[in-house]
Amino acid sequence: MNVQFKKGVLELCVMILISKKDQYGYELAQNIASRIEVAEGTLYPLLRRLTKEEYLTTYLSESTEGPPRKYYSLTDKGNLYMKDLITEWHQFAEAVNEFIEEGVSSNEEK
Amino acid sequence: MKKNDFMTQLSLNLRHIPEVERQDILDDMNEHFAIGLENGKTEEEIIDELGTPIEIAKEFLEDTRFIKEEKKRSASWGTRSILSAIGLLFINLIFVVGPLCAIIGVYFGLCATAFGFILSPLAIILTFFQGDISQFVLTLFSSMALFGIGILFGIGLIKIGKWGYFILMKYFKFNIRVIRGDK
Repeated sequence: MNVQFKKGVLELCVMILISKKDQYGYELAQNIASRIEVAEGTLYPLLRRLTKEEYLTTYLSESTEGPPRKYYSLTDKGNLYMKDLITEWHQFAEAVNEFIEEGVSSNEEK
Repeated sequence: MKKNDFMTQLSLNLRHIPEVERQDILDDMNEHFAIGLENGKTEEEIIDELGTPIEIAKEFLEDTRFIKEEKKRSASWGTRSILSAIGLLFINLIFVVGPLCAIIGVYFGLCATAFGFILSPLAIILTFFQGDISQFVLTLFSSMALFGIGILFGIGLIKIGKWGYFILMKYFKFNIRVIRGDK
């Protein structure tokens, strides 16, 4: 899949997944990668950026096995941002679909 | 590639990031490896899923640079843009406004001339009522010629006008860009 496409949308997918349930990096990477082809390592820069911008916060939590894990959780600010992004995404996707449908139907006429 | 090589390469590529932050990034990666191993994956499999250290480092570097630039720009907005606005104001007053007014004046002068030429056939009607045939024929042909010239002139002027407007808008936008400090 096109890299530029993915960059913007991954941010949204990450926030949606975290809004459902606080997750640690590995878990999140697996959840994303199971459905979208992505280099898992590139999610960490994204998580860091979202944290810096205060859309996410992190906390450490002990696990039953191994070292404590860093969990990511969505802030109120992040929740608002996510909702904005979802609205934008819908408008965007709708417009792109219209373009595609118009393109396909006009090609068929030829 | 094994985990150690991966971490060394990543660390090397992140050398321009402040120590504390770099360590934090490496900790995250260590955690990722630890959990992956717990889940029964090999180091090679985990690295395969992560992508190359260079790719990951590039993303981190892009982000830090981006955030820095945002901060820099918003901080320097105030004084710098006021200074450039004052500078531009003087340059515009001294070098731009005078010639611009002259050019616009000449342009409208030419427009009026073309308009006059286009209206010249009206003279035919005037001379028609005077009854002088030779005068009438002379006016008829000369005004027809003037009419043609006026039309051509007018078309040319409209083209030049559009072009001038375009240039002026470009200059205007350039001014705004300078004041805002965009590149």
